[in-house]
Amino acid sequence: MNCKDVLELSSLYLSHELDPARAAEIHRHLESCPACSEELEQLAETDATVRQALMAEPVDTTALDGRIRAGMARPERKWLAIAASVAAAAVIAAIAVQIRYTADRTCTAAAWDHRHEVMGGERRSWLSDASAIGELADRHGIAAAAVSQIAPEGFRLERGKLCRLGGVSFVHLVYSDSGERISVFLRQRDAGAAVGIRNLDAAAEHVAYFETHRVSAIVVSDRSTEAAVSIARVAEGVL
Amino acid sequence: MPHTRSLLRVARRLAPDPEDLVQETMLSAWRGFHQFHAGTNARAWLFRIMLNAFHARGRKARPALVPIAGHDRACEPDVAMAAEVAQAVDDLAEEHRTVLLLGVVEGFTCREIAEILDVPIGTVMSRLSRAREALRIRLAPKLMEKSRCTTKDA
Repeated sequence: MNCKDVLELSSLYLSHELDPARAAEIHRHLESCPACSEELEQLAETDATVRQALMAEPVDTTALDGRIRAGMARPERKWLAIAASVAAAAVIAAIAVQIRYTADRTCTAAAWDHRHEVMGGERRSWLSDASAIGELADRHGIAAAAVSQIAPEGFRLERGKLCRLGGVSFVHLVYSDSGERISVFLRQRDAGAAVGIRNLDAAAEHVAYFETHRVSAIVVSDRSTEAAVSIARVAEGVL
Repeated sequence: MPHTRSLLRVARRLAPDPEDLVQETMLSAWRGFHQFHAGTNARAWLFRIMLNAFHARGRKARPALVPIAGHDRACEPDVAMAAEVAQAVDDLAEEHRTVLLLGVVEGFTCREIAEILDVPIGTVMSRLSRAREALRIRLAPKLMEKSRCTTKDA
């Protein structure tokens, strides 16, 4: 590797994108070439100076954030009217999200409940009347109307009950179409930063988990990760 | 709101109407959220939307910012240096300024910048190298001056 090669690769070197073999070649060259070594050092120092100077400039987004929220709350389609400002906050949170595969105790417990209580038919006492399920949700801080609104397309609310996951109470809702069942676990949460959607695959189940400013929710599906995430997205818009 | 600071910081150095550009970006992101692919980088996705919107507007030049360094603050090292750096960045060609802001200030990798701007990674690397080199040459004397100011103040 010569000086020209080193300078050509300097951008990848400074952003730590080089594979280890290439990075090692550059290191070897820098050890024996004071000119390149000094040049890269100066470039790194310039980077640090630029970053420090521009990051220190004050950026006030208070007014801008308000304008964006107002724009989001302005419904463009009928279904968006349901979403209003809480959904705006939730979707902003979701935008912030990178979906990660993360083992999570609560999600694993939800997947277990789905497998044994819903698919495996373990005996539990369930409510099957929609208005009774709505009341149960309402008592636990979840809007009764939301229970039917979050039903995935083609699915209907089949049953619901209260359950405990990881030591805390959730409303467990089951939605079904002809051949498939999906579990949605909801829990009211205190105000705080929303953390958005993440997902994991627990054994045979696909789980998507999200939090809005108002609720924590877990979606469990047997179909696919994408299905769980897309149902979670719809639910997030409603909740 | 997540990412608006980051978007605005870059927009201010590119567009004549940075707040409008960021607002347009966030609202198109919100309307097109179904196009966001699970597992991809949300922040990079937002910058991509913003830069597409910026380019679609026909790249109107932004008005020059007034330097903040006043007479009595000229040898306050951080203030003088920051103004100098900002001016040097603003004087870069727009293509070079864009990759520099994304890579050096916002911390995106060359690969991510290539996706944001929809250009080959080699183009990003060469634009970034030129931007860095121009700043290195321009700021080198100032970096020395900075240490002189610091000494004098002390």
